Amino acid sequence: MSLALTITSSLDQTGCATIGRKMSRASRNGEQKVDQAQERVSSSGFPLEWVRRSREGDSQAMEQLYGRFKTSFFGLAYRYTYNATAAEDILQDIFIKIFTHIHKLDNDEAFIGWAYRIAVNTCLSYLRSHKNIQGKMVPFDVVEGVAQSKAAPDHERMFETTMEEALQDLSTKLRSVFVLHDIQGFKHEEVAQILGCSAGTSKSQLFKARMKIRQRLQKKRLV
Amino acid sequence: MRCSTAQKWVSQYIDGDLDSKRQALLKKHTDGCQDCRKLMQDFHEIVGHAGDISDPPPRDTTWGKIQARLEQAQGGQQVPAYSGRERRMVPRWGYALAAAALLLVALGAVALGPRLMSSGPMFAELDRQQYTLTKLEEAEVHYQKAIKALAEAVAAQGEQIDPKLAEVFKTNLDIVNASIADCKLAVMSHPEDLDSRRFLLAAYEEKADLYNKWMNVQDESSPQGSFGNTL
Repeated sequence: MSLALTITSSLDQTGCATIGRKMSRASRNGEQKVDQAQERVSSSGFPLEWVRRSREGDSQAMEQLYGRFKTSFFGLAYRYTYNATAAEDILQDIFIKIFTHIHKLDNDEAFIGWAYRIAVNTCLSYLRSHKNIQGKMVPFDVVEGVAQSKAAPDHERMFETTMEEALQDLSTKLRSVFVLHDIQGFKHEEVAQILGCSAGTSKSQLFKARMKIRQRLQKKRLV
Repeated sequence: MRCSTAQKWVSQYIDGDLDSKRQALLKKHTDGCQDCRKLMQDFHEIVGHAGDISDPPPRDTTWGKIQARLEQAQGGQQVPAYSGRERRMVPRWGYALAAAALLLVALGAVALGPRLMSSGPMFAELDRQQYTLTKLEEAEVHYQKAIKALAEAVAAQGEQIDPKLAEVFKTNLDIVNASIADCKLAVMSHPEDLDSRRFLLAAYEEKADLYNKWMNVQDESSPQGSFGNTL
């Protein structure tokens, strides 16, 4: 079995949350040199056939694409809204847009960047229509979690919670770059392609995002 | 080297984007600068933790809803946006059930109306904007009724939740109400502005969502447990 197919099965087992990171790592390790033309496997390890078949209306292929990307896109939507219900709604809209416009995608290998652009734009569109309220309200999901957790959180949990709080305070531009690069594992060139900016902008915004998160962590004496 | 430059390079170094010449310069700087050395350590920790953050999974039922919407679209009907709302509106209270039905009507009116009009010949002769305005007004009435029903459901349950959470709910409710008031003013000033009306509906949607969450927490706090929790 070729290395490309090995990557695919590895991704199947580990889920979709690390697609970008795995894609980046695979690229760094030179794994993209695997004969993709022969296997027709994308650089992130899923069969490009799924894209072609989805374009032809094959519901099984659509479900496979959904299964591969649902967690990544849900995580993305969740970190824009910090509202699980809203994230579910956005997730639905993302895939509706993907499958109703997939016939416009000329290059199957560009699917990931194209799909992520749709995902980010759908999230931003949601935020725009709810901006009057979202930014002002106390994020209930966070409060609820704190209230339910009576035990004192350990350092790791505190660190993660504080990072999530800091993320909520970031502007959408900084948050987009941090989520795509540091959480989902995309490279700057890929982030730039998704967000429609330069790789240099992605780097500078990531630096600002990390600095702001660090400030929040410093306030809580976690770093 | 100035610390401001070193700090930017630290970020690039961690990402593996710094060339060897700059890496050497950075190392020389951080060897003698405790602040930049600490920054590198902190960034390493932040990036390490960020990489370990797992994305929450969506619900198992989501794909079925997407499929239904796709089939709806293939059948000639346009796809309503954010139609997943109905799932939160099926808790055990009669009030909330009524609210769910009303919200579905409201969402259907908003989402389907203008789109059906654009594709269906029966609407070809109607004024597009006037039709949309009428439907948005209808949706507003449905939202108001739904919210009223939800508020009554919350009141019927009583104050069973943690007082701090109740305070947060009330704070958020005040914010939503203020937003609704602002949107209403905007609608009154520009009755034909569709965006103002959509923002008003989004505010109503937030208010309904808030009440629904409130009921979920009440349910979790009640002795019977959380069987009514729809989240």
